[in-house]
Amino acid sequence: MFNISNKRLIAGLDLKNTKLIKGLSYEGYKVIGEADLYAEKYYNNFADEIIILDTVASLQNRKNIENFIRHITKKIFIPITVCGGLRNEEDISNMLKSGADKIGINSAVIKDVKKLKKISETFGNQCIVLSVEAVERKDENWEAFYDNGREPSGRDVVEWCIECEKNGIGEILVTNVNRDGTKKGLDRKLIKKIVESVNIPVIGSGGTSGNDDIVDTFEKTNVSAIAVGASLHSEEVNFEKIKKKLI
Amino acid sequence: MICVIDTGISNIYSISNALKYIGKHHEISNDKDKIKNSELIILPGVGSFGYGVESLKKLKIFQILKNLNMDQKIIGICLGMQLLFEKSEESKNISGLGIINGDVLKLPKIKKNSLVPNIGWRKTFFNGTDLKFNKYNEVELYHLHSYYCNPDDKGIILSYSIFDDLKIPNFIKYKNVIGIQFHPEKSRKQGIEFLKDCI
Repeated sequence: MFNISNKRLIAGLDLKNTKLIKGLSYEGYKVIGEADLYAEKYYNNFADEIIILDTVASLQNRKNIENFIRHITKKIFIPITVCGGLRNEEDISNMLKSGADKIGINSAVIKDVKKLKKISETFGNQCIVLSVEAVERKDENWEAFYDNGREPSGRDVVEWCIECEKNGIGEILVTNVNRDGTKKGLDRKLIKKIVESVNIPVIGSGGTSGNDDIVDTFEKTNVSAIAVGASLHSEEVNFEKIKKKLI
Repeated sequence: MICVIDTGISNIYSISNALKYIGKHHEISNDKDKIKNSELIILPGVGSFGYGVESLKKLKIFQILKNLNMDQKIIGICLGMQLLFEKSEESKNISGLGIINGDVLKLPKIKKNSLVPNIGWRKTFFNGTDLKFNKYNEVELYHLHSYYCNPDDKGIILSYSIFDDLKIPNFIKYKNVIGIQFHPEKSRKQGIEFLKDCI
């Protein structure tokens, strides 16, 4: 049996401006509500961290997200990771100054892994999370996508993770794009394969169906953390219950 | 006056928000005169050791921090704590502030259960030398680091967390200097309270 206090339960919030939205497999986004209220709710309901995904990733939306982070960190005192559209040192620095603690990157480095090395050296590898958008291919293979699940990179997900670890990444967030928002269950095969291929913490995400799915995935994959969106919004997942049950 | 040092790469708003929450008036600055005239200086920490030292030098505040008066208190958080030491395995040819004797070491990759970076809530064990902090014994606080401090004088270590079988000093106090390896500003209410007790 694993020790739940060493595992992290993360609330994953997809944002458009200051609205919380959620789609199915990164498409057909619907507005759920005001994102700050949900962030505070999950903070009070035992989330260990919050990951914010900027789904628009335009210059204007990035400014909106910076303001949003400034706003929520007045009341929320847990680590916050921001992903989406952060391309260079200046973007990262501005987001950290706004109150973010970690930065997720994907599109900025997928064509130029050397850039990753430089960013990790500047900000420290504990600050940089590789965000991997995994799309299912045949025979238990996954291809890494970018630009919010729209563009294929031609790279094998596991090989990409290994390469990024060599280039100084501190943590990996892997999302199964096909399952994201569907509540069909986490992709344990994908998560397990990555956990076994690297020596850094991995956050599994995409398709969480409920509390049991989370507990089973921790048990069977040895993943360090799980990020939940849709099932948390619909209250099929309750972090407090998971923690109290397992302590 | 409390001054939170802005090195350009740190999560200063997190610290600032925590200070606001406990009603501590402060300024975020890298102005030399402001730092010289502050009673309490908070050196926050995100970034690598080498980059942190370079930033302090570029801002011309490295020497000021090195030569603080005894009536000035300094609190280094995470990388800020590490910068107080003489050197680090992270950036081998770069000297730190050297306010505390000792070095900063890389967390060893001992076994699969303890990954580097060390990320998450870790129980903190206090040795009881400072009664004020005993209430935090075994409280879980948020850690996010790949390196840890190894002071020459073990007597300055007030608490530690466990990384596999290794005791990681995560809170040190020496005269007017405090070092905190975890992130009190990211450790919920108990973390904010802890920060308040340090001030």
